[in-house]
Amino acid sequence: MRQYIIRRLLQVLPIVFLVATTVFFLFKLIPGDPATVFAGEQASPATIARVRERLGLDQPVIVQYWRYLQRLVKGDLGTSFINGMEVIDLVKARFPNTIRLAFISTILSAFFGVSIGMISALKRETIVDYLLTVVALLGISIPIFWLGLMLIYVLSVQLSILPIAGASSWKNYIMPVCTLSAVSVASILRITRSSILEVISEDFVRLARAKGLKETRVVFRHVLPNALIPVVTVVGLQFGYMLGGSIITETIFSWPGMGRMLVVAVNQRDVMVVQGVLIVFATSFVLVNLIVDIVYALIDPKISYS
Amino acid sequence: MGDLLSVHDLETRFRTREGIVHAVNGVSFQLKKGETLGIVGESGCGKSVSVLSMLRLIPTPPGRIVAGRVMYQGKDMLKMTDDGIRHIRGSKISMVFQDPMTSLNPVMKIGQQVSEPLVVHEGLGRKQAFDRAAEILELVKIPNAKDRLNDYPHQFSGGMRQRVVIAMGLICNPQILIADEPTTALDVTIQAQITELIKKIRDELGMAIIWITHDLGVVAGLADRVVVMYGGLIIEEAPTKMLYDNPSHPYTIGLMESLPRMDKTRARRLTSIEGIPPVLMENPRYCPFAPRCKFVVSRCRHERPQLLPIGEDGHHVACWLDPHTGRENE
Ligand SMILES: Nc1ncnc2c1ncn2[C@@H]1O[C@H](COP(=O)(O)OP(=O)(O)OP(=O)(O)O)[C@@H](O)[C@H]1O
Ligand code: SF4
Ligand SMILES: [Mg+2]
Repeated sequence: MRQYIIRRLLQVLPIVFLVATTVFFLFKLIPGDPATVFAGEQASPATIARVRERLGLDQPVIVQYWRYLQRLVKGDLGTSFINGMEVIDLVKARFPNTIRLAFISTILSAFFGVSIGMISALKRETIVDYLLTVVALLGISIPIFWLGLMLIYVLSVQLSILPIAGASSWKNYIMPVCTLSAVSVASILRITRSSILEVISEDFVRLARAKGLKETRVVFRHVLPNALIPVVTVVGLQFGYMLGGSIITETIFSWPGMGRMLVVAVNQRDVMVVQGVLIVFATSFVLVNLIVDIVYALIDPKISYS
Repeated sequence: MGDLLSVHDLETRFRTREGIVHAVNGVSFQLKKGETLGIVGESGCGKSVSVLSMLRLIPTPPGRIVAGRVMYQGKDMLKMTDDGIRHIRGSKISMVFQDPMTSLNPVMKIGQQVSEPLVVHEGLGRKQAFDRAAEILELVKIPNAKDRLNDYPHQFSGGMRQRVVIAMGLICNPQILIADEPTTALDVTIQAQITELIKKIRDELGMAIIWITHDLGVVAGLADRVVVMYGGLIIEEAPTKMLYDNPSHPYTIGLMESLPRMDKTRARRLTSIEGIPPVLMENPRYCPFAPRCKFVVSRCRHERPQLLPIGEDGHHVACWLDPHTGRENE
């Protein structure tokens, strides 16, 4: 097992390298001169030239690329053009907030998605099942910015029971978590339902009943462990999507996380910050997938580690 | 009467998109202590549904048992509480299904699966239950049984898995083992091994067996008595030798004629009778075999023949004619 994990970790390196490379060249393609942004719109051409030299932007692209990689290996993501702070420090300050929000949302989505999906499957083709299916469809199709704004309008503006913005108390988590989880709960619910329905008609489940087991034991010992295997992948993917979803959610709720930082940086044309955030996001996404794969290997005995 | 189990007028239907499927239309039979009863008939004639209905294992919906009684130890299993029937399943009456590849839970260790009936029926602890599981796996000839308790199903071959399923069925020492085509999905050589194994265990433990199969050859060597099903009904029933010596329903006669001279096990499948098996979309108020029968008379198309005793002891046939004389039965 350890060897499997190490091997999978080594496979991550080339992907991260590819991500870093793509991000770098993407920014070379974007029109606009970072040195101008850095020096300010009013700066004289001489100042801009000096800045360009200091940032190494006067060098050939390939040299810039090489230096960029060298810095990256050391964990140096450059400095912000706007406030001169180390990007890595900005990330360190904001990323935990984003992760915390995504993590709480994932855990809650998984819990509610799986339990509601289970109820839906066990009550299949009853009014309960139909209602839950409609709710799930709503959850998947509502645009999350609309949901976020509606929550703010009703709960903060009209009823004044929840704070609109910030991350200072647990109350601040409620609306962002709901907004971020809506799609995930619905997706997890649907995959859980269909997966349970598939497993429940299998021979081994019928045989489990023929062995004289109680229905709860049949469900929890035989149906769920099999039905949840594909659900794990979806939960992992949802965590990844939540990193993306954090961009909208954090902006709506003024959440001090990396998603909002990215939006602000884009507006300010703060190239280094945007670059750094993208690399961190992409790397996290790859790592989440790695973790999902490892969990998958742990719970499915049919996957051997060699 | 000394019957261990008796089934009376069992009827099971399925509600499907195309309409109601009348899978079992009034099946009655008895099983004595230690007896082996064969149930034969071509695919879709209601063999599996009959035995699954007995233990109330029909998926509901779409299935529904609409009539009948299944008497076991003086009680009707169809009217028992859920708890009541659960105490019988897997402990007094257990089942083995056709396909060993899908009969085992892929993410549960063999030891756990085999010992599970003991845990739920006899409240044994894990250690004791595993010891018993190892014993029973040895009984069904799994090599190194003790070391394989922690293996998963995918680590076993098809034949070995069917042995595991059989072990699981036997672990509580049941009075009745229902084997629904337990060898159909296996290679010919493995088929013979599994059949031999069950025979041997039956002789050791003395349980009764209901053995469902397509294969008349297998039944001949195994069963004390055979019922032949067609279109959700039993159309002939007799002690095994009598059935082979003197098949009396036109369908059974057809089956026997289509049997090749010994060997070639594969070719003994019941597929070589002319015409197609009935689609059970309506409850037959007439003889279900009429569309394929060469002896058919007009009465066959209006009235359903009852399963009635003919001549010899224990021989029952549901047919309006005596096919040997061509005369109508009364
Ligand atoms: N879950 C179900 N839903 C709808 N129809 C069903 C269901 N299970 C069985 N049937 C129908 O009931 C009839 C009898 O099926 P059954 O499985 O008892 O046949 P069988 O004699 O066991 O055949 P085989 O030899 O192929 O196993 C078939 O026509 C089948 O289509
Ligand atoms: S009852 Fe009539 S149709 Fe049916 S098997 Fe007998 S002769 Fe043939
Ligand atoms: Mg069957």
